[in-house]
Amino acid sequence: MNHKIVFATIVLNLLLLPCVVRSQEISGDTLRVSESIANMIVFPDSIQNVDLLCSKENYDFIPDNRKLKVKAATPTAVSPCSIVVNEGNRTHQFVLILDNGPITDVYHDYGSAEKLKNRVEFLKTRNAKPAPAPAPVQPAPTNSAQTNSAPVAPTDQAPAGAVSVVSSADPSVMVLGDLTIKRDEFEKRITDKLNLLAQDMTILIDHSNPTTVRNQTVDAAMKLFNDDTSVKVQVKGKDGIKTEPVKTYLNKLKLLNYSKPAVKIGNIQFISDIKLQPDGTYAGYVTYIQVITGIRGDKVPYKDTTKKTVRIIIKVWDDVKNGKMWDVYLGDILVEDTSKK
Amino acid sequence: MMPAMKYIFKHLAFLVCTLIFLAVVVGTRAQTFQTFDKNEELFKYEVKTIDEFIERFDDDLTSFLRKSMERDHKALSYSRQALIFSLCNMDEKRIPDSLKLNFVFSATDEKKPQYINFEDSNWYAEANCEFVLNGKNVNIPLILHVRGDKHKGAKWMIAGIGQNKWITDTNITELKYETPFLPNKKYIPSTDHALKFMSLISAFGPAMNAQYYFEPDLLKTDRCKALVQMILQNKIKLNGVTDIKYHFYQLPGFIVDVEYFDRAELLSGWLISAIRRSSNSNKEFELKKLLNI
Repeated sequence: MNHKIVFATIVLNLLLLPCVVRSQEISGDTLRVSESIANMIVFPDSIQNVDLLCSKENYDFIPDNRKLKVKAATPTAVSPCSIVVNEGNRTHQFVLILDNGPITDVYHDYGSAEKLKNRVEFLKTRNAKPAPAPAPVQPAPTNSAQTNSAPVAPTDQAPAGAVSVVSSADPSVMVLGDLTIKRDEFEKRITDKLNLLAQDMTILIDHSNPTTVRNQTVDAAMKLFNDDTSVKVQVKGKDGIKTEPVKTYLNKLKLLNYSKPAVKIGNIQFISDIKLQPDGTYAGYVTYIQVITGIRGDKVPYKDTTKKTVRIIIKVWDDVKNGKMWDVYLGDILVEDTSKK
Repeated sequence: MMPAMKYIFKHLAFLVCTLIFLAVVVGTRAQTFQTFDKNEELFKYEVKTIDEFIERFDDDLTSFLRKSMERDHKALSYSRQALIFSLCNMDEKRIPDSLKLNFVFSATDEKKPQYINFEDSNWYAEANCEFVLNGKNVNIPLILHVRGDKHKGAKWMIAGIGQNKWITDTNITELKYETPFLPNKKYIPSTDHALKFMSLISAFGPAMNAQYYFEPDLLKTDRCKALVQMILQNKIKLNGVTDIKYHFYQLPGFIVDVEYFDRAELLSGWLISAIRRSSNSNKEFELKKLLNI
C-alpha cells in the first residue's frame, strides 16, 4: 500500500513538475538598460546559458553563478532586444529596452523560489486585466468635413504656431526635427500608457492582491513616467491643494483597499499642438475622465469621477540599426474633482 | 433699403447658424456630468483647455470639436462666427449683445480676419498663486506670457507680479544665487498652464535661479527682487495656483478676458468673461496696470 502511495506521489509530481516550473518562469518582463549603469538580476539557481536574440555587440552580459549583469554596449544599442536565460531547470525571457535617461530600477532580486513566483504572478496579473474602455476619440477621417465654415487662416497667420510640430500641410503627421511621425501612432502610444496606468491603479486598489504584487506594481507604473524623481501629482481637495511625488501618490492608492475595483478612462482629449521645448524634447498634454468604482470594506459601493490632465513628453533618439526612434512618457498629473458637475 | 434691413440681411446666415448652435447647446443645459459614457456631449462642447479656446476661436481644422463631430459622422456646420459667439459666457450681463456681435464681426472680417496663435507674446495668464507666508495662506498673482522661438522652443516666463500687500519693496541691490544661470537648462514648460503652473512649486525654493523664470525687466524691479529674496530665504513657499485668468491684447480694437466656468452645461469651461473696446495706447496703459509696472 505504501509503495502504491509513493509511486502515485512520484507520478503526480512528475506530471505537475512542468506546471510548477512554468509558474516560476519569467516571460516578457521588460528591463530598462543603459550604457552607463548595469542591471543586475539574481536567480535562485546557477545560470547555465544566456542567449541574446539580437547582435551580440549591442549588449554586454556577465553571468556570475546566480547573478547576471546586463548593460548596453553602446548608447545606440538595438532596442527592444530579447534575452533568454536558463537557470536551474527554468527558462526566462526578458525584453531589454534601451533608455539613455536616468534609470533607478536596476536591481532585480528573484533569488528565491518565492520571489520568482511573486514576480511571475505580478506579470500574470498585470497582463490578465481586461482592457479599460477604449478612448472614444478616433482618428479623423481623411475627407475632412469642413464644408460650411469660415475660410481657413492664411499661412502667415496659421493657428499652428512657430514651435508647433503639427504639419500645416498635413495635420495627420507631426514633424519632430528630422523625424516625421503619424499622429494616430502618437495618440495610440499615449492611450496604451494611460491604459497601463489605469490597470496598475486597479491592481494597487484591489486589496485581494498580495502586498508584494502591489509593491511591484508601483515600480512597474513608475516606468511609464518620464523621470521618477521630479514627476508630481497635484490634487485639489477639501483640505486645499496638495502636491506630492507620483510614487507617494501611487503608494497611497494601496491604502484604499477596495474589492472588485475598476479604473476606467475615457474621453481622452489630445491637444492639437505638441511643442518643442527649450531642452530639445517635445511636450504636450492630454485631458481625460477617470472613473474609479469598487466596493469598500463595509460593502458600500464607491464611485469617484475625476478629470485628469497629464503632461506628455516625447523623446527622440538615434538608433544605429533603426535610425531615429521615439517614445512617449507621462509627466506631471493634475487631478480635478468633477463632483460640481 | 434701410441700413438696418441691410445689416440684418448681411448677417442673416450668421444669426441663423448661431441660433441653431445655441439651440443645440442651451437645449441640453440641464444634463449632469457624472460619467464619460453618459455625458459625452457635455465633454465634447465644454471648452476644456485654453488651447481648445484658441483652436475654436481660430476654427482650426484639427480642433477637438471638429474631430468629435467627424467621429460621429456629422459635419461641423457652424460658421466661425457662431463658434466665436459661443465662446462668450452667455450669463455675463456686463457684455452687451451688441458688443459681442461687434467683436465677432471684427474677428471674422473677410478682408482682415483675426486669429490667435499660442506663441503670440501679447496674451497673458494671470495665475492666482497661493503662498504660505508666516504660516498663513496668502494670494499673490503672477502674470506669465509665452516666449516662443522656432529653434529654441516655447516656454512660459513671469512678466509681472500683480497687486498684493504681502511683498514689501526693499532695497536689494543684487540677488545672489547658489546655482549659475545656463540658458534653457530650466524653464516653465509651454504645457504648464494646463497643469496650473505646477512646475513653479518645484522651481521656487532656496536653490532657485530666478533668471530662468522671471523676465529680465521684471527682475530689475524692487518688488520682484523682494519676492525672489523671500523665496531664496525660504520665507515664502508656493502651495499652488488656485485659479487662472487669461487676458488677450492682440486682437485689434479689443481686450478680451477669458475665465473658467465650472458648470454642468454645454456652454462651460474657458469662456470670454469680458470684452473691452480699446485703442493701442489704452492697451499699453491697461497692460502696465496688469503687470503692475
